[in-house]
Amino acid sequence: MNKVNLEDLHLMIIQVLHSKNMILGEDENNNSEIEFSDDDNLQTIGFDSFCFIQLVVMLEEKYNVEFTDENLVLSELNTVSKIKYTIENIL
Amino acid sequence: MDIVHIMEEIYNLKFTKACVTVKISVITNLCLEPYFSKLLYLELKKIDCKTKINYFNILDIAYPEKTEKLFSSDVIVIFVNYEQKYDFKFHSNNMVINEIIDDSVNFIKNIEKHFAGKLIWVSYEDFYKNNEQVYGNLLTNNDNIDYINYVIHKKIPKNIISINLKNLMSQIGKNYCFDYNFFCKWGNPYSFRLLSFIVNEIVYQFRKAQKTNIKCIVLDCDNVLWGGVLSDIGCSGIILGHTYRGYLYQKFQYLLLEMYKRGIILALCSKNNVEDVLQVFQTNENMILKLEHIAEYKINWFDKSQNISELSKELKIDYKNIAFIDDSEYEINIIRKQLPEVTTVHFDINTIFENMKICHLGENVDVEEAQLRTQTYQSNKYRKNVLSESTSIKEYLDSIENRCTIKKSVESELKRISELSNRTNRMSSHRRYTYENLRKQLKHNSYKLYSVYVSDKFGDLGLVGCIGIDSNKNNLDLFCLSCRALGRTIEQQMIEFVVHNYKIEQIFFEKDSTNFELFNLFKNKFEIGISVQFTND
Repeated sequence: MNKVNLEDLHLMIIQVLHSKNMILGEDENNNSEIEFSDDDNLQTIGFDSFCFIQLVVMLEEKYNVEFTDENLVLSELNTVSKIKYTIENIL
Repeated sequence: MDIVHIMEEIYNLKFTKACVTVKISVITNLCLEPYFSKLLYLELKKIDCKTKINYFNILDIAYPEKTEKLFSSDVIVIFVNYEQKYDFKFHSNNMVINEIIDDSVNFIKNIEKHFAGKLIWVSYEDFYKNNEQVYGNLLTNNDNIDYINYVIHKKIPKNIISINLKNLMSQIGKNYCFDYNFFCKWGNPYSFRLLSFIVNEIVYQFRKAQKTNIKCIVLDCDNVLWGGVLSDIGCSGIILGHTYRGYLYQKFQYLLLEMYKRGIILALCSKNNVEDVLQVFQTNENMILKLEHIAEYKINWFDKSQNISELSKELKIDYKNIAFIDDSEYEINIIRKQLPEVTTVHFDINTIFENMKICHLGENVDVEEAQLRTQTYQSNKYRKNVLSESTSIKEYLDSIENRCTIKKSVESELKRISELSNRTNRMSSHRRYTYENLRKQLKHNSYKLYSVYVSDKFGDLGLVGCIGIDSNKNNLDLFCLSCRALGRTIEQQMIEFVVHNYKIEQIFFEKDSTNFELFNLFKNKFEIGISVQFTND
């Protein structure tokens, strides 16, 4: 079983943002420069509902878990710390 | 590959400076994130395209402020889930089915009318609900969806690409096409696997639309049309039919025959004794292809690049429109190096059917005309003999009893004229018309369309040219002549006809390296720059 690692979560969030911007063609700057702390609201760095779906699918696959409807509340998954806490609870 | 790896790959992608940006719009009633865009993005990266993808809900199409980005799209994909759109209704009577068909056709036609991007329609499927059938038993209405798809496909304009979703699903198997977890969470019933199949098909169709048409396939014989080396094992020893491998070669010949019927010219280029190969064609009962299907052959022991070069000249087909199939990597590499414009396909009996996709034709082909084309190439041998005995072009044309007839076009000729306008390059002003656009154009009484027929004592070349004139604006809008009819002064006769009947003030002309001869002819005949202007609006 994969251990939930904050660094991994950061990277996954950056990847989601990067792919969103690349595919929409809105911002082609290097997204690895985006900085955010564990408690920053992800919506402030450009996370939208599509990003949210993308991240959940990635998390399910990476940590081999399944989010139930109760877990899928945006306000409970909008910071890195909350995501870590939710996954650890499911695990 | 899973989504975590896909995201990593996208994150680490590097594009070359030469990469092309492709704008794709997807009109759908599904949540196609997170897989669809990523797969599409990666697949198009393989051909050095950078993709920008936008999604539009089918309900948003009615609002102009929400569809702005559709105007600049290169490709528009319509991917609508049948059951969600038509609300899981049980469609049992004809009226409801016809309503669905009309609704869908109008929707697709509206998109086609308002937006310029290449349109791809992913057809419907009704496997998800699955309540109209019991396994192994056929109840009612489960062929409705096939009927609906069929009629929609027939009713929408031919330039729209239809992707047969049920066919794709059958390749994976129905049980692997759906993801119920995904459906419950995001409202998209399709599995990662099916979505990747659909993406591959969209990219393939996109590539096909970009690619130059293959008009002629040049075939090696040994280990391509049959198994074994003819000069070693003789006519009776070749592997064709009877055995597993033999049937595969026969199946390949069936595919070639189907292509021939849809307008592809077949030619042979093989290192062999010509008598041996002809004997196989004439006497081997298992041969599906007959000599009548072969427009020209070069069977000798010379270099194949030289032979293909001669075939290209004799058939008057450019290298870029030729595909060469050979089982020898050595020969393929030589052609790649010496004739880089020729498409090469390495023959491997296990992969050839997949690789032949690149040569498939669209649907809008006049089959009778296509067959006439091969006959013309065949009878060209006799014409060549007469030419060698003649002292002048005029004497040659008189002796073959060359006849050119120009007459007003009728409805039944429009398909062929549209094909001509799209296929011809050298003797064409490069105005391209779809069948539908040609019909629209003809609704204006001022638009005059003429068909050009050519024949001689060796055969009928059929409808080989056309002229379109907007008599209100005195605009020579369309002018094209097939390469088959070149060298017979037909182009001059067509220009004479125009000059004699109309006072041309404008000529539509898109000049490039292929049609400069026609440009010069026009320049000599019309007073260009004084009273006649070239336009390419």
